[in-house]
Amino acid sequence: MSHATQSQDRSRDTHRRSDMMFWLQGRLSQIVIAPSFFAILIVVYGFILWTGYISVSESRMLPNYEFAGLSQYERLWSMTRWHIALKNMFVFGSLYIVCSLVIGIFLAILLDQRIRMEGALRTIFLYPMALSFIVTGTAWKWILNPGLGLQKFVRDLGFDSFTFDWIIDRDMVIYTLVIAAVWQASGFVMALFLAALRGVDQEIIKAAYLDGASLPRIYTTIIIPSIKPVFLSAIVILAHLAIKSYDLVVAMTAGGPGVASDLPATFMFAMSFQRNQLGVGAASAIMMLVTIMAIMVPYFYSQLREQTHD
Amino acid sequence: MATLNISDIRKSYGANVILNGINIDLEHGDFLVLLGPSGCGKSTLLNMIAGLESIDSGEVSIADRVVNRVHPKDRDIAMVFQSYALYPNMTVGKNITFGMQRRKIPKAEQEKALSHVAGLLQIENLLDRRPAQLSGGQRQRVAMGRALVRDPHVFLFDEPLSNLDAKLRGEMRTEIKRLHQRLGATIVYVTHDQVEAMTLATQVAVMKAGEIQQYGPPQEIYAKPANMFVAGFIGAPAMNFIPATVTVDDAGGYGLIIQQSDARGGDICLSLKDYETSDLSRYLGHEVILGLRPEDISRYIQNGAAAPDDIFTCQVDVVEPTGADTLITISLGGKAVTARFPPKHAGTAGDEIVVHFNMIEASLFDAKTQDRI
Amino acid sequence: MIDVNYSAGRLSFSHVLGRGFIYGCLIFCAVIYMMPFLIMLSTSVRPLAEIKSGTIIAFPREITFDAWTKAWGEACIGTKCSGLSSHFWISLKVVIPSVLVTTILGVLNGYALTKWKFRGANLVFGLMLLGCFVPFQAILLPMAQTLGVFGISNTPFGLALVLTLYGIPFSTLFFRNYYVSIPDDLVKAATIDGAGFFSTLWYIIVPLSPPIIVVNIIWQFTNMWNDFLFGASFSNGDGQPVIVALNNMVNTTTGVKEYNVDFAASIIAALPTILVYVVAGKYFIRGLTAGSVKG
Repeated sequence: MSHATQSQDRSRDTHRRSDMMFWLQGRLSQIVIAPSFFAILIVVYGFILWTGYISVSESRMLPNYEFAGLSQYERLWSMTRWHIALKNMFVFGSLYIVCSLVIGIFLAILLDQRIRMEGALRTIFLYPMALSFIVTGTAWKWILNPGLGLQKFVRDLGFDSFTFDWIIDRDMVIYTLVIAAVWQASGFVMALFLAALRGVDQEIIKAAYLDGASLPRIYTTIIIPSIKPVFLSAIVILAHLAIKSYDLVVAMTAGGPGVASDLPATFMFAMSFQRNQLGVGAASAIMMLVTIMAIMVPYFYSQLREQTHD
Repeated sequence: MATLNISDIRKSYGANVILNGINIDLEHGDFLVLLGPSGCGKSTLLNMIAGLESIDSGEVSIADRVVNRVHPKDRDIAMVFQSYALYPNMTVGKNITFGMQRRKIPKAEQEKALSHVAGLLQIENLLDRRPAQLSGGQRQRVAMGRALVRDPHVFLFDEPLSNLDAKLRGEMRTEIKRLHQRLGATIVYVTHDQVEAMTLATQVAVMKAGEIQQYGPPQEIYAKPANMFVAGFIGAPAMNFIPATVTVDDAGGYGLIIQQSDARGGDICLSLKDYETSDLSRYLGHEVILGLRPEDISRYIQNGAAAPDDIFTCQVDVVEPTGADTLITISLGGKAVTARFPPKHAGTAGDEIVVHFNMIEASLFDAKTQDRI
Repeated sequence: MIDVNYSAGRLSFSHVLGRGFIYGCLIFCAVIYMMPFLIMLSTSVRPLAEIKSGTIIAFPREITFDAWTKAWGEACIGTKCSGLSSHFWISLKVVIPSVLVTTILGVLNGYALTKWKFRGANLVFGLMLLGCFVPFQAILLPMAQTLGVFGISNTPFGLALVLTLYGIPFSTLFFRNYYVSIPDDLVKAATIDGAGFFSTLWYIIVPLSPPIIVVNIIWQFTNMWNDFLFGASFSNGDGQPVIVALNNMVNTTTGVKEYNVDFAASIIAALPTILVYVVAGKYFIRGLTAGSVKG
């Protein structure tokens, strides 16, 4: 073998090896992410399809994959309990979002005024976020219990006719859930907005101040409008929490009195695991999913598009 | 032996053509500056030489070896980044020796190379600090140290000075030039700053929209720009572009007529007898663009000798002193024209002055193709 | 932050009044926010008789830790009376490995999605991101059946697996958004220096990651520790995590209702997450808000 072919061989060898390495380097990131991606593909998207399938099957107590058309959905929508749950969802969701936003922004603006002890106050406002809904629910359940908590406390102070028994009142019980949920989430909203307020361009604020604008005016006309994206983020996150909220209802009212404080999440669990109505449970889960996705997909689409524009 | 050879490199993302047939040939010791506005493909080209970006077609060879499919670390190159890209979690010393560690070079050798480079760049006292504790200029030095320690075949610089303030930029420019002269290294240097290109390069490639517009020594590019883009991109203040019409004078020599709208002294006639292209018959009676650098317009001061050709009277619109020179704006052929005068010749706004065009240095461009005639 | 408050001539009477109002509001709100926890704490150390004679909103006249020992070791959950302790350990056993695994996967996924972008990386990220917001009710039934098929339903391993799987999207989101802000040039420089995919990750990226690792650990730990839905669906009896056990304890209807024990148990169950917040909450706010604002 001549010297030339030898070196050619060697160069072909290194070529092949470097080709292999190029391929591997280019694919490594895909290989690394593949397990997570396919796991999510199965346990999120695959399982959603599966649930969707159950929702159009004959399933009652046990899965039964005979196709049943939309009969489970018809049954779902004919149930008074589902309509109560939906109405509660609407009342609870909108009050929860609005109150958390208002209180959260209010606290954020107050904390933005160069406050001493800001760190400690922030921790106090945020700690409910660390608690389990079960813990929160248990605490508020007894605090709002008329014979044990707030009502008894005020009556003992001498106001004998004071009444605050929402938690056992069919018409009012849903508002007690709002109180507990807002207590838990408003600190988180505060943290979101505080970070956003700190990110506002200081020069604009100085310019407005030099123009003679008062502090409240600066907030309403300049700062709040400039952090609009945070409103969107906060609303989306809160809406998502509201629709998923399950633990709080279980711990605080267990859906009662009767089914007066049922939410779709508790409805779904009750149908699937207690009432032997797997199909109806699946149908309600799909309704929840559709609602959340109707909020989330446009939001993510706009966010991702914004990012690629940058 | 060619140190770096690039032949017919192409790259596109979908329908978006990034590089459209680039050819470059560098000898050992050349300092090539890739110059162009952002988005012209110069950084992409540099990344391809480094091996950080894939090549659609064409070949890159370093030291006569095709490296298209060679890993960056095996290409015998080193790179200095615009952001310096110093590893924030490592000390300066670790930053510089990280590459040697990866290549399993013995500790003693690493130490030797480190102290040599640190001495060269005068950063011995910084070796134990972290990048966050350094000033911009110091970071720049460390980034260069990381490249120098590799002693590569080709150095790649990606806009290394654009994050520095003006004074430091000037100093580091001189430093890079000194290093180049001392090490005799081959360098490819990307920038959008034409001053860096002029001062540092032995060869300049002016790029636009994925193509090399002109390739040559900086002085040639400055004096004889290949088209109006290059002419306008190089030089500050930019070259003046004045629309004019080609004529023939009585003696059969070509000339230019610039129409003056305000008719002060009528149209201006300029002689083209010294222009490099002698046959302008194609353009006779057509409009062309006269390109004239500000320093090629001077004030004519009567001194008893016979008046030269190519002088005429005009009015000063704006006077901008810059210290060493004063920039004068006059109106010519309906366009604002900038001239660079010594301060004592400047006069004040509103003055009527006589100016002289140094037509030996003039460039002519085709009005349609914008190419040099 | 507005520092115009401090400019000259602003220290007038109305300014002092304004500051007073701000501090007043903040302190009032702080008291309200603290109140439920203080009530829980106070009730948990009062004897049951004292509570029954009054309300749960009161300072303890007599302090006793009986309720705490009972909640920890003796309280009845359903028919079994051995307190929360065993469930507390089960929670730790389930949550700690899950947090570690999601953190490691988050690092890998975030790194792969940002520093070695491939065609379709954005789609992969988008699909995983949407996974953060799927209501778990929509996957509950298939998951129950799948766990049954693999014979791991009602085991700590099965629960840990479920928590880990549904923790991946959030971890990926956190690390991806953090790594996006690390300059790509660092990876290019490391590549030229001869570091490959994993050595760049190990020598360059991981040393820069502690802030986001802290955020991820806090988030995942809190979420997994506080999880109720999966715990209630995929565990039973002795295998229940502490939050599920707490709920069962509070709702156990046999015998006398012991509010002090309920509250002591609640605090015990909440202690790990509260501790995490108080110790590392500062970093959490910083990182979490950065992540959420960027979406």
